[in-house]
Amino acid sequence: MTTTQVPSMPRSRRRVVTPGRVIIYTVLLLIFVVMAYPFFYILSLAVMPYDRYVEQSVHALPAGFTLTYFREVLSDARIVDAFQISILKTLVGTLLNVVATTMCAYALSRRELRFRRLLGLLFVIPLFVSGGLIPYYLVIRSTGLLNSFWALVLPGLVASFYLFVVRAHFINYPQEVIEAAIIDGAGHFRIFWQIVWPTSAPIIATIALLYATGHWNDYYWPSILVQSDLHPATVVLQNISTSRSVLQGLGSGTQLTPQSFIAAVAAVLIIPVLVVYPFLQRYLVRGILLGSVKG
Amino acid sequence: MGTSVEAVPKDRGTPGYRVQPSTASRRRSGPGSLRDHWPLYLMAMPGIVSILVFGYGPLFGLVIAFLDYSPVRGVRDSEWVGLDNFRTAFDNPFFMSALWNSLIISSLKLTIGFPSAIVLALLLNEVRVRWFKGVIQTATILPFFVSWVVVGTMFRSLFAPDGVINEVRQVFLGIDQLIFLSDPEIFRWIIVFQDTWKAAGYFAVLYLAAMTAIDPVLYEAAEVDGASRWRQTLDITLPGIRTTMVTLFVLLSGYLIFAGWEQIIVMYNPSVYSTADVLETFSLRLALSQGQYGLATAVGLFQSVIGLGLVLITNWLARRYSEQGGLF
Repeated sequence: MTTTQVPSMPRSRRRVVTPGRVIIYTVLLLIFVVMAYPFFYILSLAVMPYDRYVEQSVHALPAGFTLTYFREVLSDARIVDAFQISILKTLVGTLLNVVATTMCAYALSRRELRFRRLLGLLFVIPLFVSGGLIPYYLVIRSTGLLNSFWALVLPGLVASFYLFVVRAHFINYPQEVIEAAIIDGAGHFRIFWQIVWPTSAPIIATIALLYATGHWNDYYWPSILVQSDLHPATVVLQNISTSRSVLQGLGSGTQLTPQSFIAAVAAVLIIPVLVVYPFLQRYLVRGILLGSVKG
Repeated sequence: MGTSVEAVPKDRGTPGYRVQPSTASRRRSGPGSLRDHWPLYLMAMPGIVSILVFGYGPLFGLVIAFLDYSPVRGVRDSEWVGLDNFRTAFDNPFFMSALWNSLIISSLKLTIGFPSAIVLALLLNEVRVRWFKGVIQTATILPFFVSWVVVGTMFRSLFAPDGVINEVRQVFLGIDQLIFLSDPEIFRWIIVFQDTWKAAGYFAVLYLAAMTAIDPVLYEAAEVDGASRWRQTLDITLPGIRTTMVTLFVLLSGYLIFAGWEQIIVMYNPSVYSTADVLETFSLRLALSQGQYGLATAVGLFQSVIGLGLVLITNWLARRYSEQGGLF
C-alpha cells in the first residue's frame, strides 16, 4: 500500500518500485505490527464490554466499547491511592532531581569553584564501579528512609550521567553573559535562576523527561523499600497481574480478576506516556543520543 | 589594671586590621575564594551528599561480602570470615545454575538483540517517505519508555492460558493450550524476544545517528560507479557505523554477566527458576527472604568483578582486531 504511493510523490528521482523496496516496506510494516500489537491488544481488552468478551473465543481485535473497567479501576481506593503516589513521586522526585542536578552541574562548570576536578572525579567513579544491589539496599535502610515517601524520591537524587550532560552544556554556555552579571554584582543564585535556567530550557526538559519516566516506571525498589500503603501503581499492577497468573496456574475454580480489569490498570499507566510521547519524542531521542556521547 | 587599659585601644584598633586581611584575601583569591563564592559550594552540596551516600555508601558496603553480617550486629561487630562467603556460594548448586542462566540469557540477548537493532536501523535508513519513517520510529522507540511492569503485564496477557496467542492456536490450529510462561525452555526465549522488542528501537536511534554522519558524497560516487543500494549498504553504511557497533558491543559485553534482572523479576515465577533464576534474583532472595546478606553481597561482588573483566577483555580484542580500536 505504501509502496504504491511512493512513485507518485514529487522530487523522487529514485523512487521507483523495485522488489527491494517492496521487501523493505513490507518488513517494516511487519515490525510495526509486532511493536504496536501488545499496546493495541491491552487497550482493546480494556474497553471490551464483558458480554462481547464472553461471546467470542478469540479476542485478537477490539469489539465494542465500554469505560466500565476504567470506572472500576478509578473507584478502587487501593489503585487510586497508588496512582496518587505515582504522580506525587514523579512530580516531587523529578523536581528535586532536576534542581539538584542542574545546580550541581552549574557549580561544577564554574572556574571559581575550587577542587572542581576532584569533585568531577567524585561523580565519575560510581559510573564504573558500583556496590551492587544488596549494599545499596542496606545503605538506604541505614539512612532511615525505609517506609517513608522519601525512600521513593531521594535515592539517586543526582544521576552522574545527567550531571555531566548538563555540565557540558553549562561549560559551552556563553561565558560573557555570566561574567557580565558577576560584574554587575549578581550572586550565583541569581545568575543561575534568572539567567542560566530560563535560557537552558531544552536541556532541562530533556533530563526532566528522562528522570520523570524513570520515576513513573520505577517498580522494584518501591516494592521493597516501602510498605503497601506507599506502593506506586506499578507495584499494584504487578501484584494484581502476577496473582492472577498464579491462580490460573493452580487451575483452581477461583474467580479470576478479569483480563480487562488488569488491562485497564495497565492502560492508565501507559496512557500518559502515549499522550505526551509524540510531543516529546524529539527530547527523548535527544536524551538517547546524549547517552551515546559518553557511552 | 594598666595592662587592661592598654588593651582597650588595641582592641579598638583591630577593626582597622581586620579590613586588611579581607581585602588581601579578595585580591589573592581570584578563582575559588570560599568567601566570595560560597553559593557555588552550597549549590553543589545536595549532589555531593547524594553521590557520597548512594554512590559510595554501597562501595563501602561491599565489605559485607567478607563478613558474617547481621543487620542487628552491624558492620563493626560482625565476624570477619575472609573468603568463606565466596566458597559457600561456589558450592551452592543454585548459585552455579544462576550463573549459568545469567550467561545463557544475556548471550542470547546479545546475539539476537544486537544485530536486530542494526537491521532495523538499516531498513529505516532506506525509507525516504518521511511520515512512514516517523511512524515506524515512534512505534519502535516507545517500548523503551514504558515500565517493565506494563511490558510484563502485556506479555503475560498475550501468553496467558486465556490470552490471544493460546486462543489463536486453539481455534485456528486446534493445538492444546500451553502455559508458555511456566515452561522453563519457552520462558527463556520469551525473555530474549521481549528484551529485543523493548530495546531495538533505542539502539537503532544510535545507529541512525551514526548513519546521518556519513558523507553523502560517498553514496553519490557509488551511484556514479553503478553500485546497487545493497552494495552501498555493505561498503559504505556498515563501515560508517562500525565505530558505534564496536562501542556498543564492548559496553554490552560487560553486561554478559548481568541478564537484566528487572525484566526477570517482573516476569518469572518459581516454576521457571531452573532456567530463569539469575545471579541478581538469586542474591536478592538470599538477602531479603533468608537474611544472608554476606553471601548475597559476595555473589554481587563476584558478578561486578567478572563484568569488569569482560569489558577489559572485549576492549582488548577490539583494540587488537578492529581498525578503530577499543573504547579505552
